[in-house]
Amino acid sequence: MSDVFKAIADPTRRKILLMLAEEPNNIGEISDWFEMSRPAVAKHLKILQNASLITIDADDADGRQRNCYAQLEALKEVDEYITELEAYWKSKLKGLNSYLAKKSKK
Amino acid sequence: MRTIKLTVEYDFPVEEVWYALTDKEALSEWLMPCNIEPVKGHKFQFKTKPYPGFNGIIDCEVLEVVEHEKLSFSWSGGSLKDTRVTFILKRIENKTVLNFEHSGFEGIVNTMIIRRILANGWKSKILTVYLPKYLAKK
Repeated sequence: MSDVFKAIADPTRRKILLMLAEEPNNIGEISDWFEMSRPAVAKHLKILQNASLITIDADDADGRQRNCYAQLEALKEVDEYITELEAYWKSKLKGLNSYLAKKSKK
Repeated sequence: MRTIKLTVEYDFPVEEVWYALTDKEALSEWLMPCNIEPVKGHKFQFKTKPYPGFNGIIDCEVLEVVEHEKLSFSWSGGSLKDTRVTFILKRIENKTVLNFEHSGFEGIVNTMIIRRILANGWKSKILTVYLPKYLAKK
């Protein structure tokens, strides 16, 4: 089994992945959310990280909570889609100005 | 999740901009062919060129109408489901400032993640049964 298969074969890990896909979060918050111990969550995160499905902030000297991020290409796709949509609206709203100018000349 | 926000100033009075937003022939001309009526609850469609994965139809419902001030409608089509488009007009003497917003993109994150997971051949019974259930519950 590939790392990715193994990583998402577990329902808890899929839930964690979906949660992180919506918003980066730290281990403390994730364990609160799933009512799991921190070591148990850390183990799941390690497996997701090994499968390159998430990234985890590097250790902080001051011991602050490290954030975890979903590494899904899907997120990039969404971002690109919205950027395209924004460009579409920009051009349309500019076109509205030309429309108004044409109308008022009549 | 991101929201599209744009501000545009028009050298035309609010009444003319409002007309361009709410008259179906006007809106059809500068945006896309449609059958809008500025009446809350009115359902209408925009029709544009289809392409693979998109049938060219955007289903909308008028959500809010405040004459010369605010127009808001839902926008569902292609990857977008129940997003919201809002135009807010502000009169500045003989000019109009338009604050435009397109929001509600939360749904496409899930759609695209699932599509990606399935496309990668990660399909399993648990995944196809469990995921939709989880998403429906949210």
